[in-house]
Amino acid sequence: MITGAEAIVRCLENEGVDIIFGYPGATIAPLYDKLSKSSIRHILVRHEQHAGHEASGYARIKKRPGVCMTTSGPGATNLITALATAYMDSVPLVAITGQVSSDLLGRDVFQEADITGAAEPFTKYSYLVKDALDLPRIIKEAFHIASTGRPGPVLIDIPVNVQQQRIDFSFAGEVNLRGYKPTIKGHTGQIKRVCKAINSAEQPLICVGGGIFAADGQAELKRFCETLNIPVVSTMMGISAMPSAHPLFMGMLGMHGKTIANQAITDSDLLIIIGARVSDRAVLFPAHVGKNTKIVHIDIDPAEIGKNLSTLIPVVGDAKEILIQILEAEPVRKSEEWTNSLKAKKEKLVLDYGPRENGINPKAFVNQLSRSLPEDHIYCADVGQNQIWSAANCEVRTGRFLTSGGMGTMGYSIPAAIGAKIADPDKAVVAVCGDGSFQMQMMELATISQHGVGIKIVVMKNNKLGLVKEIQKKSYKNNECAVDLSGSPDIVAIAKAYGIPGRRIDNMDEAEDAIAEMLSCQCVYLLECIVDENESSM
Amino acid sequence: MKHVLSALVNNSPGVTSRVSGLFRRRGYNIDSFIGSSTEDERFSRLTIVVRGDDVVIAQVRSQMEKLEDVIAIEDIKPEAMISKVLLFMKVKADINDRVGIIVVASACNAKVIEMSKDYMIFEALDTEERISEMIEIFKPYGIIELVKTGVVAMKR
Repeated sequence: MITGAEAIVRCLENEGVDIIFGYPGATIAPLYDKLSKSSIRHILVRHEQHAGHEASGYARIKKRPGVCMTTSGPGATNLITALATAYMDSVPLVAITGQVSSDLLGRDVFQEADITGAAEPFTKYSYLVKDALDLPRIIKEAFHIASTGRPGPVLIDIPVNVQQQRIDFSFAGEVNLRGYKPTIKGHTGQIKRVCKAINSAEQPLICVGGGIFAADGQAELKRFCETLNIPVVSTMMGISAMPSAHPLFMGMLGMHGKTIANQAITDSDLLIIIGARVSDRAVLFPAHVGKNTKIVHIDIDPAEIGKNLSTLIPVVGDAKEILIQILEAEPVRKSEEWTNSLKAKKEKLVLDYGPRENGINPKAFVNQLSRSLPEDHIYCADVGQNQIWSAANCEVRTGRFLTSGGMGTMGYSIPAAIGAKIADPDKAVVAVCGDGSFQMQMMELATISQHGVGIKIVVMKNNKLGLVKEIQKKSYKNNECAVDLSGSPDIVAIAKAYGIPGRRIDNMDEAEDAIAEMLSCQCVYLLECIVDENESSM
Repeated sequence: MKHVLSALVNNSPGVTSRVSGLFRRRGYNIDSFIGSSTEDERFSRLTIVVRGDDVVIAQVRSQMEKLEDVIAIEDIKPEAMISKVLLFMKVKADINDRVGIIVVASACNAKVIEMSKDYMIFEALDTEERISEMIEIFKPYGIIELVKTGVVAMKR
C-alpha cells in the first residue's frame, strides 16, 4: 500500500517528468513530502503564475508537457493566467493543484477555490480527483491529452485527503478515450485538391503559425516551400519556423507585421495556412483578403478551420504529415514570376536602423543582439513595444522565438526563458522585455539566482507603457493616461540586489561592447537599454 | 432523499451554466436537470432533481436563491406533484419476438412509433419509477438505444 502522493510521484516519473515548477502550500504538502524523495527536480518560483510560464517555456523547447504545481485557493487562481496563456498558444502543460479535503468541498473552507470551474475556459481538459485509485489513469490521460492533437494545458486538482489515501498501486494501461482521437494523416482527397490548387495557382503564398512547432515540422516546411518555390509569411506564433534571412521568408504579417507580408496576402491567389488561427492581429479585416484568393487551411483542430477566414480546402491533420503527403503527390508550379518579384521587393526593404538622438535604437539593437548570439539561440520576447521590435527585427536562424502570441501576457519572457534554459541548458537564451513587463516578473530574478539559471535579460526602458501610449496617441487624441512608469526602481540595482551583474546603456555606440560583455558572462546577466519614450513600435 | 426543485429563472444566456456550475462547485448530486422556456418569454423553468438530506437541500435552495437570475424556487413535495418522464427506446425485435414485445409494450402503456424488420422504437410517458421498471422489462429483448428526459414536474 502506498499513498496517493507516492502514486502521483511514481506516475510522473513514469511519464518521464524530470522537473516541476511550483510553489508549495498546505493542501499540496503530502505531494511535496514525497516529491522531495524522488529524482524529479523542483524549481521553486516566486509567484505561481510564473510556475505556469516556466513550464510553458520548458514545454516549447523540450517538446513534451511542462509540469507545474501549486497549492489550492490563491495558489491555484494565480496559475490561471499561465493556463490561459498556454491555452491560447497551444502549449502542452500538466498543472497539478492541491485542493481542500474532498469532504469539505463546496463549503468555502480556508483556501478553497473551484479551480476546475474557474480554469474551465482555459484548459483543454481538467480533473478533480475524488479517489486515489483513479490517479494512475488520470495522470496518464492528462499527459496524453496535453501532448496529442492540438496541445494544451490539462489541470489535475487533487484534494489533500486523496493525496493521503492509501491504495494498492498499479500503473494504468493504455489510454483509451472514446471521443478523443485526433486526426493525424490528411484526407487523400483533400491532398489531391490542394495539389490541383497549387498547380493552377499563379501567386501562391504560405502563412505559417505556431502549429508547425507542435507538429515539429520546420524542416518539412522548409523543404515544402523550397521545392515548390512558394514564399512564406508567418504569424507572431510562427516566427522562427523559417530563418528570417531565408530568401522565401517575407516576415510576419498583421497589424504589426511587414507591409510586404500583408501585401502578399492581399495579392495572393492561393493562401496555404498551416497551423494558424489567423486572429484579428494577423489579418485585421478577413473580408479584405484578396477576392480571388483561394484558401487552403491545414490544422489539426477542425474547429479552427473556417473560424476566422472562409476556407476553400480544409485539411485536418498534423502539419508535418500533411506537408509530406502534399509533396509526395508532386504538385507543380507553373510560374515563378510572383516569387521572384517578392524576393526582389524583400531585398529592397529599407531598415530603420539609424542612431537616435536619445537612447538606443531598439530595432537595430535587437537585430544586433540576435546576430551576436549563437545561431541556435532561443529568443523570448515579452509583450508591448518590445514584442513588436523583436518580432520584426530579431534575426532568427536555427533557434526559436518564444512569445505570448495569443494572450499577449505581459511578464512571460523571463519565466519562459527560465523554462527554456532548463529544458536545454546548452542553448543561449535571451529574454527581452520592457520596463512595464519587467516589473510583472522581476520576482523571478530570485528563482534565477537560487537555481543558477544562466539566461540573458534585456530590459528596454522608456519609463512608459509604450504600446498603450501609442494607442492613446493614435486613437484617443493623444490623451496620455496611466502609462507613466515613474516610481520604477533602478533596474540594474535591482538585479545587483539579487546578485545578478548588469549594465545600463543609453546609446548605440555602446551596444556592441555591452552585448559582448553580456554574452561573455558565463552566468545570468541583465542589460538595461534606455529608449526614447517617443520611439514607435513600427 | 430525492427532491424535485422547480425554479423560475431569467431567460438569458448563461443561466443554465451558472446554476449547473453552482451544483458542480458545491458537489450537489443532480439526478436530472431540465430547462425550458415558459409562456412568458422573459423566464425559463428549470426542473432539477437533486439528492440530499434536509440540510443539503436547504443549502441548495439558499445557494440558488443567491443567484441574481433565480426568481423563485419551490421544493415540490411528492404528494402535491404531477411529474412525468418521456422515453424513447429502440429495441431489437425480429419476427419471432415482435408480437410478444408489442404485448409487453401495451401493458406498459408504451406506444410503437416506428417499426422495421429488426427493431421497434417505443415512446412512453410515465412516472420516473414506472419508466425505470419498463427499461428493466425490455432489457432481455436487447435495447439498441435509449433516450429519456429528466423529470418535469408541476405542483397540483
